[in-house]
Amino acid sequence: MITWRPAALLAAGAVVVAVLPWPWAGVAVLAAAVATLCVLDAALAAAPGDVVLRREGARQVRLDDTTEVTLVVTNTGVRPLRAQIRDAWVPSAGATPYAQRVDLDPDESARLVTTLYPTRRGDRPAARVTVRSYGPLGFAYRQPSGRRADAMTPGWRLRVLPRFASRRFLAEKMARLRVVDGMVVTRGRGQGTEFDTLREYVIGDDVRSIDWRASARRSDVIVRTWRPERDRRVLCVIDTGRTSAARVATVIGDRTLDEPRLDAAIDAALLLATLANRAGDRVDLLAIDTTVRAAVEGGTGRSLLPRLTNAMAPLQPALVETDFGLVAGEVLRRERKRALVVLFTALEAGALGEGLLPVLTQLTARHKVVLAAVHDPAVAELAGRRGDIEGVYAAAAAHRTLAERDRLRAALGRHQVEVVDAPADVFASRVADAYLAMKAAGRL
Amino acid sequence: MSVRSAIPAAATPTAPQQRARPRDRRWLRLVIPFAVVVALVTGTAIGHAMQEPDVTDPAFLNPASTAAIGGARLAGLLSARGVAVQRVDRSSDALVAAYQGDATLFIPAPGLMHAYYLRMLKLLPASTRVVLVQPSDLTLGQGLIPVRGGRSRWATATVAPGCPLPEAARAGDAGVYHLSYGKVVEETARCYDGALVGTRYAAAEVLLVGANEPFRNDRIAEHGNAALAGGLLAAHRRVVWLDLHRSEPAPRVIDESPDPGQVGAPPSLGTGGSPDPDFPISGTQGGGGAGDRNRGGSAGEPPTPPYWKLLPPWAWAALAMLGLGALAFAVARARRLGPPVSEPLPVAVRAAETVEGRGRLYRRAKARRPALLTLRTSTLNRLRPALDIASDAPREAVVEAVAARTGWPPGHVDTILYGAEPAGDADLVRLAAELDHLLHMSVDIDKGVHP
Repeated sequence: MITWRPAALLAAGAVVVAVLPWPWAGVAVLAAAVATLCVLDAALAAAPGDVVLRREGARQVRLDDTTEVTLVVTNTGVRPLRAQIRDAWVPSAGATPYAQRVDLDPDESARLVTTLYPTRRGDRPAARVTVRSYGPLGFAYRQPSGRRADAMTPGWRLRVLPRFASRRFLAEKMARLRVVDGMVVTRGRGQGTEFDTLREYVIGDDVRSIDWRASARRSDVIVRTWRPERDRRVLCVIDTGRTSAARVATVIGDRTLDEPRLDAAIDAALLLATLANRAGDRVDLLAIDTTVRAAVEGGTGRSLLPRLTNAMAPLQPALVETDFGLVAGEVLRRERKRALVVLFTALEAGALGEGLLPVLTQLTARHKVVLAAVHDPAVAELAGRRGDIEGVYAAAAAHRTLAERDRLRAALGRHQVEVVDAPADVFASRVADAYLAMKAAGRL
Repeated sequence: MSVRSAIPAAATPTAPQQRARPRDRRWLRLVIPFAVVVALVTGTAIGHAMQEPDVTDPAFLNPASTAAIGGARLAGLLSARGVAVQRVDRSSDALVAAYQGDATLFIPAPGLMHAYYLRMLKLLPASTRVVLVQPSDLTLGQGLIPVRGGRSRWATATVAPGCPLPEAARAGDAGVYHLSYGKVVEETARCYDGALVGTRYAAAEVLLVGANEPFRNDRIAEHGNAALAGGLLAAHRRVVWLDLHRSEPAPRVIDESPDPGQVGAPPSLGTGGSPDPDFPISGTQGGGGAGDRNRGGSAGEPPTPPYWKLLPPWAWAALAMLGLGALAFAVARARRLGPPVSEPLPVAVRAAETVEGRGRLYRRAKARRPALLTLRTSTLNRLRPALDIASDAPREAVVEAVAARTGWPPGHVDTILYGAEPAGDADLVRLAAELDHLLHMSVDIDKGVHP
């Protein structure tokens, strides 16, 4: 294929043929000459097949962060390579620049850096590297396409991790956890049921916690201290079915995001997992709709959070009805001991009433169940609409939805299921609060 | 300790092979609709062409042919009415025969006549009637017959005569409407929505029939076709039937007229036969005939130069170079640096969509009663805890408590909370607003009751 240069040369030839005594012969000669030049130039261009491509760089990045992936271009041919190279990614990977120029002598290599600013969570693949190798005159080029171009493209997949916007709540929740833990203020009994240690009595301690036997041995007044239970199990079950696809408005800082409910659930699950991990509990994860989409088991310690984020990053809502029978079965199979099961789903009468309520007793018999649901502020807004007939009908529909939600909440309450129903911006915080409250009350 | 993650297939359409497959068949999307349209158009055109009779077929309106498109039945009909049918197979013979007067010149295929012969129709005497079958606009123009072609139909239609022409009036409805004619100079008749028009062309009476069906063996029996065809042709004692089936050569014209005041005429008509000094056929004297233009300026005045002589050759060559340059530029811009990459988009479902949909459904069903009931229930649910009313309290107790809190008359409160079904949309809007007002009056809204 040709570049703009032969076109410019032909246009300039218009002036030449105008002054020639035999203009039509001039046209033929000039056109033939330009065509020959183009063919020669293309023939002399470095073969794109001799270009060897390799990639290195980041494998994962957090959403809203920037990263770089390097494309190493090596010219293994005998001719110098003058080329334009486009490293194409899916649009949501936010790859820049569009294309880069390289001038490579034989056996030389260059590093082309592509900056990626992903705009969506999940796996962002690199699509295709296109090499356009120009001839020495820059008149023509050779560019492989289709299967040949795909064959020389080195694959790469950038995993974009969830934003974890609820990190901003972490400091506050950790402070409250420390209070519960008894590290900051000792308040004796009631803060836990597990025996922790013996220490000397100081004024202000609850006299009921004096250990008389120990006091007799040590000839000093000794009190028992208590701490919250440790090594409890927390299982985050994320529903990736159709209700998780619904978009709810989320305000983070000065930005309004229109993200699916699933993203809010992932965010809250991350905060809860971090908190529980610090509190010394084991955290498991299960993402499920009609099949198990992701599962992390037995997470403790520092490796937990990266593993959770990695497992949750590629989750996408599936347009299927979640099989709560399968959910109950999987939960019971994975958690033999009593655990706190936090079910991230939506408070929707249709989905939960027919799916979850029939199997709920199986779960509540062995586990403590918390149902965490993001609600859409738009419904409450609709409920307040008045003025015209359209608004009144919308408000009636919204009130009906709210009433259904209340009935469902009552039904779940009868099964001793705690319901956290909050708008997306404070959802993660409310879920963490529920966990902390249970931790403090020793109800885990 | 294991991490497992099964990703939905829709989220990872990345492998190039997977993407290549749908692209291979993409050309079909472009080709199939065009192919269907082309096939339909071609099929229809072929079907139509097969329906239309071929004027070059020897049987076409031949007075001796009994084929479907022949004219034997028409000839028999004319004979039965005592009209002599004289079949001729050359235009010049037909013109000579018709020139004697008191005859009908029947021309079934005027398109095959040479334009010069058509122009000679002007020479015919007033006692001759000329019947032209389905002459096209082009034929009329070349023959200088003062009639313009009008609309044409896909198939012939049967129409009512709607004119006082006696032949048409006698025939009644006839299947003649295939072509209709427009503007006619010196119109003498206009029947069948313009499918049959008559004019005076110089002296001769010319009738144009917009379809060949009324004359054909297979259709002559339908409607009033026979009466119409017979009536048109039986006006005089004699019918000169021009049975012509191939294009004729131009008449040989006597170039050197012995009398300068007269113009050339075909040999069979003899010289000096033209009553019309403007007779357009001429050999060497100019006069603006079509023949002059075709022969490319053999006359005295300088011919207009062809358009390529308007610019010098070098300018054309330069333009050609610029054109080539533009073409090369288009080719250079045509190829992309790699194909565009598609984004695997997630589903977008708004959370409040079902709620809004239900609202619209209420509206379409004009469900005023259920809507108001929902609003009342929700208001009562918020009033009860605020006013300390038991959930099973009777209607009177609730009304009394609310009236006591708001100071509104109990009757009014009762109407708002338990009143009759709203009569119309305006009523519903008003009641909803009053429910709101009542709630605001009764409950300190800042306390943040659950929405």
